[in-house]
Amino acid sequence: MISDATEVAARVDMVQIFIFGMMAFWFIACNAVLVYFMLRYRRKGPDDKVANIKGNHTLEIVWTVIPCILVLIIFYYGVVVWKDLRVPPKDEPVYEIGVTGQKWSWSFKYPNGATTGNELIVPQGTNIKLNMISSDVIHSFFIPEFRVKEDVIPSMYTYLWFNAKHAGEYNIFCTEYCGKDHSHMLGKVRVLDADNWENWEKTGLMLGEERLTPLENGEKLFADRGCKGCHSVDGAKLVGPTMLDAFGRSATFASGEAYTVDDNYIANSIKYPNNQIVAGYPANQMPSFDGQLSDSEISDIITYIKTIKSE
Amino acid sequence: MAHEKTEYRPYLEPKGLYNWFWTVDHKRIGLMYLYSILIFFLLAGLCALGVRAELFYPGEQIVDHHGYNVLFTLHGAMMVFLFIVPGIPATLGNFLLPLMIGAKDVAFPRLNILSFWVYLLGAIVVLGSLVGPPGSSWLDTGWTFYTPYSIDSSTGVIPVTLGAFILGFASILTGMNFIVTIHRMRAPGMTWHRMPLFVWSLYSASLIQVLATPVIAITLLLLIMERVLGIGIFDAGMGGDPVLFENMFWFYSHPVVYIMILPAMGVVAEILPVFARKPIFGYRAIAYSSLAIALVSFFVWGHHLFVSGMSNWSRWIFSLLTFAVAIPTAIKVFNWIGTLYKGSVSFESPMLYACGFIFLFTIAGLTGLPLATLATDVHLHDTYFVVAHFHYTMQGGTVVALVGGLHFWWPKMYGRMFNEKMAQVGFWTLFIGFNATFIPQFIMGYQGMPRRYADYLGEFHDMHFLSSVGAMVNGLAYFIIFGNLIWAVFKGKRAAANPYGSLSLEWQTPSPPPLTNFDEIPTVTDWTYGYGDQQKA
Ligand code: HEC
Ligand code: HEM
Ligand SMILES: [Cu+2]
Ligand SMILES: [Cu+2]
Repeated sequence: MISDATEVAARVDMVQIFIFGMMAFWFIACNAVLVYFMLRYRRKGPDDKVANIKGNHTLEIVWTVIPCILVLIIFYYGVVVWKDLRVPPKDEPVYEIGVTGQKWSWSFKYPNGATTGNELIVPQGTNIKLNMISSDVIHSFFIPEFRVKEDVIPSMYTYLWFNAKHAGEYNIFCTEYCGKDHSHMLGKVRVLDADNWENWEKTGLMLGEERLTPLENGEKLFADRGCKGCHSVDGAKLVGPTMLDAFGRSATFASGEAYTVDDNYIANSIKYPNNQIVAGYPANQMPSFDGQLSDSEISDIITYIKTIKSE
Repeated sequence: MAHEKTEYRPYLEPKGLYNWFWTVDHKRIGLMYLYSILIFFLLAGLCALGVRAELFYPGEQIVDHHGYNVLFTLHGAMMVFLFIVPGIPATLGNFLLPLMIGAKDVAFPRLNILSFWVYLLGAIVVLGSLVGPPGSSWLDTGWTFYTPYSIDSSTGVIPVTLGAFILGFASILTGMNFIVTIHRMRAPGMTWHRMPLFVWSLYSASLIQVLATPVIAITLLLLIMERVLGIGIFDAGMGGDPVLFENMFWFYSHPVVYIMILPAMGVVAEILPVFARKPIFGYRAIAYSSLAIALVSFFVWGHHLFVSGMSNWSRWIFSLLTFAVAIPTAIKVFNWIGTLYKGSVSFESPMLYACGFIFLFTIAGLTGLPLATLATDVHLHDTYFVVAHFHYTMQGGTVVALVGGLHFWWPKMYGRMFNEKMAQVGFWTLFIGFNATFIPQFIMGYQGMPRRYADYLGEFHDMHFLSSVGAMVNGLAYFIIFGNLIWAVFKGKRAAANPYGSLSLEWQTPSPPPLTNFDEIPTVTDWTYGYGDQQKA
């Protein structure tokens, strides 16, 4: 029904199949007996003789002890496999990636200093550990095909690990309700084979991929980093002000002070959004991208915003 | 006391709103609770249909994302706090408890009506959150109010949490009242082990109500203080711990699921022997397993936090503890089924509901196993698998038992019979619609579809579509069922005092019962389930 893309996921499925088998057995057993009794002892008339049975101690003990044993087996099997799902193998190297969850996008930070948004890029066949934190409310990081999930919490680091078997693309979902666009807080894991990965680590590009122009890169970042969820490019008012004709626009802050949108203002808004709040919009909504976007990326975004014009 | 034989006058008279509102009669209070919770069941149900209508197709259909979030929040919050927590105890429990133990009323009739008034006040405060523009003030936090989202949200967190805080007192008052009533008001000869199992289940549920509710009261109060005063207990920005809220919330909200389900199990244990003409199987096992469930339920809240950054030790300990609830639950199922063995089973609508309950509840219970198992829960947590699981317990379990119980005791409550054919049609529509709604949710949940999603990926469309079709049938069923019951109140045939031939005390008085329940307090000489002994005589 759903593929398993890691070794551990396949073992989790074995546990699942074992439990499903157990469930099927008990479901059928209970309801077959129920239906059999319903039909077999259906009332035939007002004078039916019924057995005056009030209970049976032996049966009572048997059907207490057997479920006890069975659930202990399930519990034990579950813990054993979960240990491997949860704890990265001890004396093997792990590649650690930082994850930040924020309304409503994911950012990833790699050991070489590179960052990506909504797209987690990892090498195949490597133990990957994600160290996760949220910059606003609680989110949860879920990759169904790896059978891993862990909440992403402000002020507390959580982790998960996996080792993807094959190159490919897999869904990332946010599974802790985090507000309006919770259902659009989606991402992808891109698992690369060794060659591709080596190239990406060095250049930030897939094999055969051309470097984007600043404008193209700005547009991509604007989408991948979740700006689009809060800032429309068509004039609609979402959580934040529209970016249509934003550059050069004059407006006021909640404090009453007037300002004009220029390069520095945009850069500051991205890094320290809560220093000034635009009048008519809530504070503490926009997450800070300080440290998640490099200066060159911010300048690409500005290049893009300048081009969002009506006419 | 009984100086002269009083003339029979059903409790439904005198009529008039005033006489109802100021009554202290447990039967009237039970009915007023019933009408109130059914109104919220309707409202919350309509929200659910709105949710399902939106999910027929991916993308935006009828509401935007915020609107969707409001719908599932209102659905969950109203279903839990206003419908199912008062649920069976406040309605059937209030009506039946004194009748079943041979008392004239509960121990504290005035506290009983106070409980109802407090409930109404709480409900009004909750609805107060709807005053104001839907876009910015209707609650969108989910009924779980997780921090820090509920601290930041601009929506009506305060009215709803304050309302839930007030509703908690209604719940505590009812629980205390029932505990004292069961201890002090039993008729002569009504020993603990002669009591109907419904009374045992109310007793267990009341214990939880009294012990767990104060915790949610404290939690919600702290959340309100956090929002108003910024005390920094849950707010990470001030050094607080948002996960502490989850712990406190589930310390109440897990036991609460047993407030919902235990009385439902009690209803089923009443219906089965009557229609099987046979003593209940394993009376003591069923009675004590209720108490066992009540006790264990306080130690398993951590299974809601298996992926919430809890230490690895806590995770497996809570997994083990959670499995402990499976045992008393399984024991109950086996004993219910055993009750039919060599009986003389007839299938009037209450019995259909009781058997339907067993069927659906086995699914509910068994799907709990992969959720209690660590390796598999990591994947299933917060997906539609969980949504389906808890609907099998709450709707397939509690609501089916409530509706079955209403059919069973309707003749007692109103002295009228409903249309049996219609009742059977209603049951089967519900049974089919319900399964059609939630079986697809198990499947897409296993495939990884997260819950509380206003929009979804195309690959989940088939299952969402099926589920939405099922939901419409599920909704229709309630109109058939309650239409029939309401019709009965006005137009139904007069019911006999004891149409199903039950041995329980509530049936040994006229239908509807007189204000004081019994002309004379009965003396009890045997347990409630002596159907086998009866046939020799
Ligand atoms: C969770 C929603 C959200 C996200 C995501 C978000 N913003 Fe914002 N943004 C806001 C809100 C709300 C405001 C207005 C309040 C304020 O000034 O903080 C705002 C203000 C701004 C402003 C100032 C606009 C003006 O008219 O003065 C700029 C520029 C901006 N954001 C850029 C971005 C960029 C670039 C990104 C992506 C890297 C982004 N935002 C992501 C919510 C968001
Ligand atoms: C007509 C019958 C019902 C339908 C179609 C229905 C449907 C739904 C749907 C679609 C959700 C949202 C799932 C999500 O987005 O995560 C939901 C959530 C929920 N339902 Fe129902 N439901 C029904 C009856 C009930 C009943 C009878 C109860 C309880 C007595 C109940 C309790 C809940 C709760 C507690 C939630 C969780 C809300 C939340 O996530 O905040 N539902 N239901
Ligand atoms: Cu989310
Ligand atoms: Cu629980």
